[in-house]
Amino acid sequence: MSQAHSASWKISATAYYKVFFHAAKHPQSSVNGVLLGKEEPSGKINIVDAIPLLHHWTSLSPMMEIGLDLAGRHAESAGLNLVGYYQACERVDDTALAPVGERVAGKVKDGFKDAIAFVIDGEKIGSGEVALIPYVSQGTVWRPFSSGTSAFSPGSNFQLSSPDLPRRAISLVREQGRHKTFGDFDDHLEDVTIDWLRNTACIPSDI
Amino acid sequence: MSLSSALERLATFRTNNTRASQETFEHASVIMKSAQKLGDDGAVPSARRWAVLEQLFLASVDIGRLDVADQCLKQLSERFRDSPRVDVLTGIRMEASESPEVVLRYYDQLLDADPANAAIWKRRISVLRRTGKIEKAVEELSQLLDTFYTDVDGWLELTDIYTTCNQYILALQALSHALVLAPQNPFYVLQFAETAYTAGDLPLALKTFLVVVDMCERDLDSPAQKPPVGISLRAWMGAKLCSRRLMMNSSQSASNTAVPKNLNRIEELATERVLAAYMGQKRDKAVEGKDVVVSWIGAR
Amino acid sequence: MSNSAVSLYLDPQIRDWVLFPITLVMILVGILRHYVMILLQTPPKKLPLEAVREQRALLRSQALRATSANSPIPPMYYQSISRHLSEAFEAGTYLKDGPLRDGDAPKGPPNPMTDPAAMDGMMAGMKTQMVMMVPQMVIMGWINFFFQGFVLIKLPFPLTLGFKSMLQRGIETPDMDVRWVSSLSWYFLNFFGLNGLYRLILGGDNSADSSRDMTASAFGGAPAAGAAQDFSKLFKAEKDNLEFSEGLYNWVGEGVEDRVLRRYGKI
Repeated sequence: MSQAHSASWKISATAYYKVFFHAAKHPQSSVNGVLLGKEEPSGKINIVDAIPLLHHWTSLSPMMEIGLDLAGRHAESAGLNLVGYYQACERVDDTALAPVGERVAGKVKDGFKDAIAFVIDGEKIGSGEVALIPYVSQGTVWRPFSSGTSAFSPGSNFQLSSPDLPRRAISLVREQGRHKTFGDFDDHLEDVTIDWLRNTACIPSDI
Repeated sequence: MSLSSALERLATFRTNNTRASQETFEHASVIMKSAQKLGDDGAVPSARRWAVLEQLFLASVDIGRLDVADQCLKQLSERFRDSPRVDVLTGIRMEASESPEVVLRYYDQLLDADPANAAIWKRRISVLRRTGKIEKAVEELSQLLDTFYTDVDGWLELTDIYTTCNQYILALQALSHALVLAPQNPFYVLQFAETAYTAGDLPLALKTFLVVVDMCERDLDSPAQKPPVGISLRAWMGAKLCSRRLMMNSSQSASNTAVPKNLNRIEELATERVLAAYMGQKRDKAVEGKDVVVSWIGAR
Repeated sequence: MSNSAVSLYLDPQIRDWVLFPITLVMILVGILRHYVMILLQTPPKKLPLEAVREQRALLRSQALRATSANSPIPPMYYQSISRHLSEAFEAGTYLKDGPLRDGDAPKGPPNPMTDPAAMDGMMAGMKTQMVMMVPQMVIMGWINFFFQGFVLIKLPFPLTLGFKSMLQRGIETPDMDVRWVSSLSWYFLNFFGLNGLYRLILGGDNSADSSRDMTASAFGGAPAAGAAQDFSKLFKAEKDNLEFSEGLYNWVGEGVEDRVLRRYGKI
């Protein structure tokens, strides 16, 4: 089944690392966050950054609302849009987009028509493959993106800025423990000095 | 890493119920290695040895080192035959590699022998939930809580199931039992407030957020001097969100909670407190994201 | 007195063939008893689910009542829990044998002699008692039969006359020095004094010490006997308590906004 989706997405190193670190820091709980990006005139969407939101209770809305609002303002001030949503479940074999994920992704879609949602694939996350499963919306329902080629393979609508990102992300976590200094909105609410919007400290300087 | 520091660290994990699997695995491996070197009771007192072994088992299942887990389980089951606690560990090990049907059959056997074994029952429920049999899991969990009422974790699990199914009213009911059992824990109150907000009961949410604030700041001498930290900041933000929405349009409360009369003042105070957290504190370290919060506060 | 102290000489054979054997036999019997107890120990009997539920039902309302004056839960939730519990107590939902039907005569507390569960507990209690008593009776008989009236040792320190009956049991002499210890008294000294030694040999939680069991009665120690309560009466009483607490109920969220505002000096 192929869909008439002309848009294509490109994920930058920063965005991929942040999503990966967020999932690695809280392997036992669900985490979620939003993706920041920009649409180029050619219709290509560059996902340049990610903002991690929650890890305590991802299915309750007040802090989600505030976090989303703040992230949107931050994106605006950086000249970007909220273009997507990501989540990881507490169980590795669960790769469905949770109801709350659909709602948040729907909200993102209100502001950006080609919004995308990614679910982190817990079984692939340690393997060096791209551990993201893209979901696109059809009306109000979100379905796994399917087209002739599987996501992130050559020629697909989804590309990473560099193919060795997954492997580098794993080595950053395993060898340097970069995820330990990573903080999300939940962490920020406990200690306001945690830079959840940028997380500059844990992104390697050479990218 | 010295042996005593590793032992101490693991003891803190045990008492705080921390699930830092990777770290636990590293510490516990160190201890077990030196215990083997020095003979059975040389370095580690035997009572602690078994506790550490159990910790190591759970941590290694968590990070997928099933070989280590099998060794631990073998030692434990040799020492404690027929122990219900080891039965639970055996079940956990099976969950890691066997199919849910096999695990469920194993748990059913144990429950037939002793129907009042709450630990096994809870594992069984978690397997049911994981395999998507949510209704069955809810039914059994309710039955379990009907017998073992004082199990706070059980109530929280039930709350979590209801929340993920968008059954917020039922979630609030389950959570209220947890609150009765642990009235001194502000985190449960906070969860109650956030659930009430999600359920659309804004007056109840606002009041409960304020209860959290009250609980956290009750013992401070002059709360106005200090910026809110930790959970009370979260509660203030929630209070701000609720009062702002209530001022825009009054909302119905499913629990018939009255909207506070001094809504304006509460809104002002909440604004003040949230800003205080981002303004004059810790000059040596920059407070992050101040500008976006200020613009969020200012927005109507 | 100093005269009589030197007037008595003990045959070293008494030391070798009476004093040491008594002590040794008592230590060994204590250790043996410890292991027999381990063999006899039955695992705590597993309660059926309904019985557990019955026993724990009161905890529900107790938790609710404990917080009612400063309750963390809003009125609607409090009332629904409280009503639900009241109705259940009234109807006897939590009773082990199910709710009472019309026409059922309210039963009194179960008779421990007819209740098999209580019987089991009692039997276990009596078994341990037997293991405690029989060896002690045998040893006492042995000492009384062979060594009656023996003087075994002399304590190396002076004592007042008050200790005479304690240390010279079985020897009816009015003017012997209190420091001399008779065989039967030596038995009693060991009986009460060996606990420290057992703890050293067998660890803290041993069952070799018999003096401890003398204080516990055959029935009081068994937990099954404590469970023979009439739950239907308890539940009825608890229902009244619940109603009483509902009168005391106050939600901590009541007026919380005023409390907070006052703390910040806003009203």
